[in-house]
Amino acid sequence: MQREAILEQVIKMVAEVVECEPSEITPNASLPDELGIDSLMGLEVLVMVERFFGIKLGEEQLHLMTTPERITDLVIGNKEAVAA
Amino acid sequence: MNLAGKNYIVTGGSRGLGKSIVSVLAEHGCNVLFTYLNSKEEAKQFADQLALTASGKIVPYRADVSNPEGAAATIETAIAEFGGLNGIVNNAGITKDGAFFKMSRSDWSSVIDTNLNGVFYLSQAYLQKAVRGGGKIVNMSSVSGVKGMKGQANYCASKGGLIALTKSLALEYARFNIQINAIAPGYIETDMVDHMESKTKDLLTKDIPLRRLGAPREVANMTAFLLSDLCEYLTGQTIIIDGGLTV
Repeated sequence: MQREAILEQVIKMVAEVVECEPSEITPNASLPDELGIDSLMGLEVLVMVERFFGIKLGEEQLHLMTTPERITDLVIGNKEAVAA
Repeated sequence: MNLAGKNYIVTGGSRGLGKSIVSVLAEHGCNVLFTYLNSKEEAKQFADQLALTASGKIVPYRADVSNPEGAAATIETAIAEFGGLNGIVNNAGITKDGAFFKMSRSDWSSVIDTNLNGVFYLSQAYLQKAVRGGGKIVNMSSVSGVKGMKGQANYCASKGGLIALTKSLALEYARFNIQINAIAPGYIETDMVDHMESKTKDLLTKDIPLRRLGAPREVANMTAFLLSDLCEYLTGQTIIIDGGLTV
């Protein structure tokens, strides 16, 4: 899966959690500050991401999930780590 | 009701209501880890006796869930034993009754520690695991948490707190498909009531519209129902089983 496709999927998931249209979310939108994602919503995004991409991020990565771009980095990093 | 092969923890499972809950879950073919604190022999005998007929695994486990380490270890042990966990029953509870004006801090704290903080620790440890696959929590409250009882300020506060905790957690974790409910039993025929004089029991039953004490099994059956596949659209509720006492 290409980076753009992963980012698009991440944005869809974030949009589902904050109940808005994906088009309203930019790749660098701050999850807590611009989208109002609190820790519980963050956990919801994390579980959705783990489930969709078949990866295990763990709650300790929550503080790194600051924007859709950063989440995409984590997904790609995790997939690469697993592949290696 | 299909519970066979499901995995549960029941705290305070060697005596009273907890024992009945473990028995009913075992009859349904569940794997059950039940905690006990002091009654080691009693717990072992009970588990051995259940093992004669149970198709699931029954594991007695000594744990003090009123501290975070004991709670976390309980969750980890159950997952290691069963390979997963479908739900927990926060049943462990104690009473230290007495008039409020002379209630000691230790009597207050020990009841809150076991009955309320213990639920916080075990539920938090469980929910960290359950967010990925859903699950169920049943909290054992009491009619003392629904209405006030003289001489039970600590117990009432802990059980009332449990009802509020149930509602709050239900809202937080519904998005993860985790259902969290409470049961508030009234006067049930447990060891505590057994030790009462018959005159006292008569006085108790006089106030109960159904004119009898409840059987532990009646509470255990409700617990099994709340954990089962028949109950998938109920969360944040407190089911009062009291023969109509609080109506």
